[in-house]
Amino acid sequence: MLSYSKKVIEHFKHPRNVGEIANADAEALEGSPACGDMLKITLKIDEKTHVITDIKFESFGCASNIATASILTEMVKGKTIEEAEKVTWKQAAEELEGLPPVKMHCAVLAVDALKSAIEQWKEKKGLADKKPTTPDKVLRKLRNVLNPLTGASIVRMQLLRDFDVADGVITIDLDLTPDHKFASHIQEEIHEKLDHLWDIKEVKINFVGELES
Amino acid sequence: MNEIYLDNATTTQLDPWVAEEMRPWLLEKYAAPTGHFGHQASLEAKEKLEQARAAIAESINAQPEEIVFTSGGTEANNLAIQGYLKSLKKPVHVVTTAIEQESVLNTLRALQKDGVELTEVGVDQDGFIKLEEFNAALRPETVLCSVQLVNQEVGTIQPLAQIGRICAEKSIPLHTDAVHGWGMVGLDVKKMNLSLAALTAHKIHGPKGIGALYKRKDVKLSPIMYGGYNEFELRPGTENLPGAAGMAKAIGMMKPEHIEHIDKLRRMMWGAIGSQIPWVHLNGSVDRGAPHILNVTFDYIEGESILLRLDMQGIAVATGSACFSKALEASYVLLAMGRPHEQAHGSMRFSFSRFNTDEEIAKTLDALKEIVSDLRKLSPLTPRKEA
Repeated sequence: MLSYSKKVIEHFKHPRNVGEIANADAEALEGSPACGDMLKITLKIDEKTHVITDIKFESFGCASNIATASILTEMVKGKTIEEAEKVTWKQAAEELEGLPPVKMHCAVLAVDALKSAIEQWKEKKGLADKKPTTPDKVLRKLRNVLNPLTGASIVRMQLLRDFDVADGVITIDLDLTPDHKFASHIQEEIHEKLDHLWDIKEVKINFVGELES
Repeated sequence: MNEIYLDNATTTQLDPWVAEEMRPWLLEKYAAPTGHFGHQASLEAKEKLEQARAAIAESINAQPEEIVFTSGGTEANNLAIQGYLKSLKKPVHVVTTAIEQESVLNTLRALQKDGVELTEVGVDQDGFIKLEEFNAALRPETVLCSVQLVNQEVGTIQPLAQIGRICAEKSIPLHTDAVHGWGMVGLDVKKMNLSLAALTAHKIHGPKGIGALYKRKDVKLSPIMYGGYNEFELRPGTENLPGAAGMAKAIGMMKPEHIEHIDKLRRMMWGAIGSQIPWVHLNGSVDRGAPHILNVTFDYIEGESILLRLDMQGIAVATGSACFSKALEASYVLLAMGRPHEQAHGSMRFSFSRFNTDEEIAKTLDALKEIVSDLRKLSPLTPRKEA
């Protein structure tokens, strides 16, 4: 057995809140089967109190993908969307008694899917407006891209050398070599976090790490 | 330990008879097989080592002096490729396939940094080398070809006799990584015109930590490690005599009836999966594949989840899913076969041995049907009408 906690295995074996809510108030599909993890979250939200009255998920993914989605649905059911938005991927991982570093990105995916669904609902209700993508927002998103080796953010690990947002193009310089073991994984994760932003046409990623001579 | 072990392409159970064969050389006759002028114990050890060498040579239609013992398949591949290229003093070009095991691919890719030019020939959708592409890749400066005997993930048997003929016509030495085929499918170094071939013991119920490189007499190699003058001055270090004895015993114990049994289990498994579980794809070929490897994709679900659920029921298998890989990347073998990423993520490898039984296959099938159906209920991709 992998180094999964008992709680991860418990949720993997008996996932809570599985399925799809008919006539959901909001839904989000994050990730893609090509990347190996994909999550669909559907929500029922009380319009007056903003309380999440029901939440269900479906997952194409590994054990930690299923377990993080399952625990997250438990954590936010009955909470207001404002409270739910504050839940971080670290809290979800802690609630599962930890995740292996290489699997932390699954917790990020689950939290992102929830946030997307809430954001969509707020947009629908006119509670949020479309703001242009700022460097601050890009940095916030990049903090959720993890180095699978350590499970810590690429920003904290100083793998992000530089980035720039201009004319709908985000350019990112990573302090990694193109043949780094996790280069293609990190690249996919960055695209997953940024490609869908409404005013972004292109995300360019450069690997500028020093090549060994 | 798992009750049902279907991960025999990763490694196999040591046969108790092989362990018996090794025992005296571990416990009582522990002298090193130093050479021809040692003490009695060492001479006896030397004789045993040479017997093992001869038995292994015979199994591939080679001469005893063409067998160099190594620590396993990885070292044998490294010695073959690095040792051969090192012996040449000119710019070189090497041709291999895109689906070789890492100890071939990563060795060659590392050598690219030293100026070795490399062509990785593609495979078709069933995992067989594209012979036209292979032919076209050969150049006047091509000094080595490396094509595996059996693929480690999907079990395809490459047409080595044909490839050997092409190489012989152009006088290009052919190396084969035979780690996944030795003992399971035919391997004849003369019929296949092989110059080099890597073997290992632990895939056929021998011990881990012992392998061998076949090196045709006229092929020149340089050592890649330095030390004493063991193994024809190609591989220093005290010889692993218990390992060598076990390896010879293991190959001697591979009988045609075992292969038949293993092949029957594989066909039984695929027959049942194909007819009883919807949305599955075979990766590889049943009729042109090795008897012990079956690779199947289960659409709409991910391999690590299947693996863990089977493990909870005591069944050990392998998967090509990225979630299970150390680099979080889907199986490069399946991608080279043109499978989309999602099919690679949902791929499972079942690999069999003579110790597996019909009942184990039936139990695995029952578990698999339930698990696949459960996970599909959870997946946003499953077509809902028939699920």
